[in-house]
Amino acid sequence: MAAGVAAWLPFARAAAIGWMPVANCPMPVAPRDHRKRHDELIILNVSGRRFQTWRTTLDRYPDTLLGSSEKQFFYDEETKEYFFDRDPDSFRSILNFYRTGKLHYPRYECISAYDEELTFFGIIPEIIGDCCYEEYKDRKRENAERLQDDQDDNKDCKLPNMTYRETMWRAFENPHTSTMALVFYYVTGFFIAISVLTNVIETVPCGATPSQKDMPCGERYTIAFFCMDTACVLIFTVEYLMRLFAAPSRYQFMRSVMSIIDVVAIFPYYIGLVMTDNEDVSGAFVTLRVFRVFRIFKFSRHSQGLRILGYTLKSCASELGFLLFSLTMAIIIFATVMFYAEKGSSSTKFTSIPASFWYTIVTMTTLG
Amino acid sequence: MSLTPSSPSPDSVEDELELSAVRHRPEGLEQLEALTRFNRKELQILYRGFKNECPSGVVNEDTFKVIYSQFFPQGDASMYAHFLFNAFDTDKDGSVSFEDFVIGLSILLRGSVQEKLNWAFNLYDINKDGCITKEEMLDIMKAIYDMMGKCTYPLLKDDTPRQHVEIFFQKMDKNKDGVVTIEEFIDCCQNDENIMRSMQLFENVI
Repeated sequence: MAAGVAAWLPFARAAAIGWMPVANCPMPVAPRDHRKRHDELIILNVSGRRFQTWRTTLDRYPDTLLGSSEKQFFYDEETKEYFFDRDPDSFRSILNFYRTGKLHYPRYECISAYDEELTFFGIIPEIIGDCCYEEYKDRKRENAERLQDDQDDNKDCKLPNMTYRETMWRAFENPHTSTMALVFYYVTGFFIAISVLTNVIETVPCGATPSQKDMPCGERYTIAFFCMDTACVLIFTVEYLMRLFAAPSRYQFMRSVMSIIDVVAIFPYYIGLVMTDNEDVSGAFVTLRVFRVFRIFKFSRHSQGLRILGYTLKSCASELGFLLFSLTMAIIIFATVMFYAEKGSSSTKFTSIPASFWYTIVTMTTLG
Repeated sequence: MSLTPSSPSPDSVEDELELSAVRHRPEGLEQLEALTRFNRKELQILYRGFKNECPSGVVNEDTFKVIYSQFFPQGDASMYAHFLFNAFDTDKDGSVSFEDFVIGLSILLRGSVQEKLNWAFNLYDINKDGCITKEEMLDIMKAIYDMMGKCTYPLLKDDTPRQHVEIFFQKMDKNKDGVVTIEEFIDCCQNDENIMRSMQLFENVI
């Protein structure tokens, strides 16, 4: 029964007169109310601020602190009031709950402080009114996430008796834990840079002798570049295998983005080793070398900024996806329109709808 | 009775809006004490409870039904609440002010047996023409049975209200003219022990 409706009980009982004359049997006696009928004011002193309310107001919710005999523990005999050493600002919401039957969550209030007050006074937060429930749930979720992040950050503390495998994994994940890890971190970073530079310089023409025409450095100093490549790939392979060994959950490690990038970075080399001197697939092999550029993404382990970029893209993936989708829709619509508009003319470049795609894309992105 | 609309609305269609904008302030405590048989303290308690549930100072029929239904969750108390509302609303303005409420309560809880029976007759007489017909009684009976819900013992059949009305009329209608007038009603109730005993129970409700 709602709080205030209890005051209408005499009315409800009186209304029973309606069916009395038609009742077949005499009415049962109403239960006698043994509580004191006359009300008294209770003074609640919360850290110096005095709140006053009727006793019956507090009695509406007998399973809370203020509604039950638990408040007697806080009774001060000399001043004849109940003293609580709690926050008077939060208490306002709590007392309003007794008065109106609705619990509100004020926006300025910190969520954990509010929760503590509710727990102290024995009120379950689920009864927060609809008006404030959304806000409360959102704040609670944010707080939980923040705590989660804090916990993750605090995993740096030294744990005793870690196995060799666990130490290695911690060293890989957080290079600042030991000198070896730092050395490893910088060495791998150096080799990633070397590898990327090698790929770039390979294509630069450096013809020194006038008799030969300009050829890229890669073809001129094949052996040198091959050795460079081999060294880099060796380092990357060793690193990948060591990470795989140290990972607490190998399956999860193999599924993670960084390990996929690692694999993609070193695969072309091995495939190249397997199928050299085969003319048919050498074309495909050349294409595969393009994947060597993915080594640059290995820098994400070394740069937090790159990781943050990755997270940002991931978190707004749905919005980006929608953008892409709406762009595609517009392209298809306009390409179709262009195709059918130019269908009559014979010397048109828009020979089919896909052929109009290029024009549409270039126009929509204002490239021209 | 001071009726001060805080925002007078010219459009008569917005009845609900008008009702919520109306603030009704009851007569002073002294006048109410004179009109009813409650003492000061009791009036204070009653008013606080009344104002808590209806801050605007008047109850309209929907709020009335909602409040009353909360006491009878197992059945449908809306019809009975409707009849009750009409019985409380003595000046027929569509809303029950605190005066109406407390005057009604005073009769029911502190009135003489005569007054109580009078009030009950008023409740049954839906069109307030001075006599209860079988149709009116049937409506009231159905409303009461609806309110009791399905959890009655013995289980009700569909024509139980009609049978009940027949029994009632046989008891009350002395001159068998098909209607029960107020004299027949009061006479019959005063001679009935059960009813008299039940009436005594209302003394100590507040």
